[in-house]
Amino acid sequence: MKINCTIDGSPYSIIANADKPLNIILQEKSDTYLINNSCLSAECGNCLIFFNGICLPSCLIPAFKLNGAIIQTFEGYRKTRFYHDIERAYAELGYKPCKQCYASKTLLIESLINKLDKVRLTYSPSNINDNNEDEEKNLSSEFIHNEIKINKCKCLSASQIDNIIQLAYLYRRRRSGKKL
Amino acid sequence: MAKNFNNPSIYTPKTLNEVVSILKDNKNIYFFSGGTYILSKKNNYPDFSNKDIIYLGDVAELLKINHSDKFTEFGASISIQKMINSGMQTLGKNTIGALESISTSQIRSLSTIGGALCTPNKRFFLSTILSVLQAQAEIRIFNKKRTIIKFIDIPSLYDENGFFKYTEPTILTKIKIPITHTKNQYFFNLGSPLKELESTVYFGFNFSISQNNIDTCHVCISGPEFFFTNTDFDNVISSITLPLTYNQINNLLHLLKEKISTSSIKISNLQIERAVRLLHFTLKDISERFVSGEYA
Ligand SMILES: Cc1cc2nc3c(=O)[nH]c(=O)nc-3n(C[C@H](O)[C@H](O)[C@H](O)COP(=O)(O)OP(=O)(O)OC[C@H]3O[C@@H](n4cnc5c(N)ncnc54)[C@H](O)[C@@H]3O)c2cc1C
Ligand code: FES
Repeated sequence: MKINCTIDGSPYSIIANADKPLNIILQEKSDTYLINNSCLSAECGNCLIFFNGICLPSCLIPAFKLNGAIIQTFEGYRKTRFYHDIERAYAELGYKPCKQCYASKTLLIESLINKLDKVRLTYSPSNINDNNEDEEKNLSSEFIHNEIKINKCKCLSASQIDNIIQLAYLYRRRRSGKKL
Repeated sequence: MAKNFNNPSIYTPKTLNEVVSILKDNKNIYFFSGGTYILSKKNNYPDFSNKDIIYLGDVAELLKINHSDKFTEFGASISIQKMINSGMQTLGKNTIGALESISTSQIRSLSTIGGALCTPNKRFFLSTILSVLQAQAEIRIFNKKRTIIKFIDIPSLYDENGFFKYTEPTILTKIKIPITHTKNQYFFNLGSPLKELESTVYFGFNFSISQNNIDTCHVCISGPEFFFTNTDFDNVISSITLPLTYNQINNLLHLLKEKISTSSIKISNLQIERAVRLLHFTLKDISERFVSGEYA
């Protein structure tokens, strides 16, 4: 089937089998493609991409769902200012994902920063002296722990990832001149 | 000579009538909803089965959500994440918590109700959750001459090994969940269904209380490759007066072990042990809450 989609901001047109998974299409598209396609079956979580804004394993997206889709891989993402926030947080904190999962974990962290932003935007204190304010304004550690399960590499702990999210979020808000 | 791999045709019907006419013309075909199970099977691509695909994600009837005083209905192509988002008010905290324990939000945004319930030879947590909530599934069986529509209980969809029983082209169209007392449920999801076949256990317990008695109770224990519900066992618990004594709890644990071992399900010792401990925790917790006046 013929597929037209956008990958990393550029229009892309290919002919592929309807059931061909996106990770294989991406691998064939680019030699420098950073996804580590090791498992091909939703186990490793090293093939994450943004698919219409949602961070998903590309091995779970068949070609027939790609028509009109907007796909962002790590290669496209690393050219954005958003990546710079996370990179700074890695440098400041002194830890970062290992080489194997770097691309996917960074995209996963970006998706969690977006979630944190949504939580903060929709937060409205019901009580000024609310003791739960901190909890309600943040992603719970249980939530983070659960979400990062999608990437099986254990090079960073949930609390390290939480620290990266908080710091990169802070940089982003400062950069855009918004209050926390 | 190398076998030619399949280049499937993909059908994207917009209505159930279109699904029926595609099925009439094409017998060698399979349903595709979220694709998380289909695409996570080892060596899923390239495919040599020569089958075409019907994508159910665009079928309008399967995307409906209906809230009434007595039921909430979800179309089969609704994702588990959407079920969570739109069921916040009606399903209750415990059920929402159970749904949230299924994988991650990314996978839940792809996984559909139909896919989770109809995977041919593997059970997922959703079947256990819906089973104890007394949900019903609407299925349509397409045979040569006509389409048969049935509403059936969730446990009736499966055999003891957890295999989906309906082999003819059968489509699950929607589920109907009665609104119950949302506090009286316990759900546990231990393990990883795709990898830990012999240790994963799903546990569901739903009950109602009238005065000092457990009035009705539904228990479901399952794993990726077994599905266990037992009306006798449910009835024994349903006639119990609270609070439970230490001996009563022990007897119930023994009874559960006995019922499991006399059934023909294939369950590992670890899974039995986990099931018994989860029941122990649940019964103890209900008793303690009863004593502290929570159910008054
Ligand atoms: C990484 C990962 C982690 C997971 N973790 C968990 C977990 O922790 N707990 C858990 O319970 N599950 C877990 N799962 C399993 C997940 O819940 C199932 O893969 C998912 O629910 C299947 O839904 P789907 O829509 O993607 O199905 P599909 O893959 O599209 O289809 C599955 C099967 O159902 C059939 N089918 C689909 N829709 C219908 C319909 N309406 N009528 C009839 N047949 C139909 C298809 O033909 C196919 O045989 C996990 C899966 C992955 C990939
Ligand atoms: S290649 Fe997609 S999860 Fe491993």
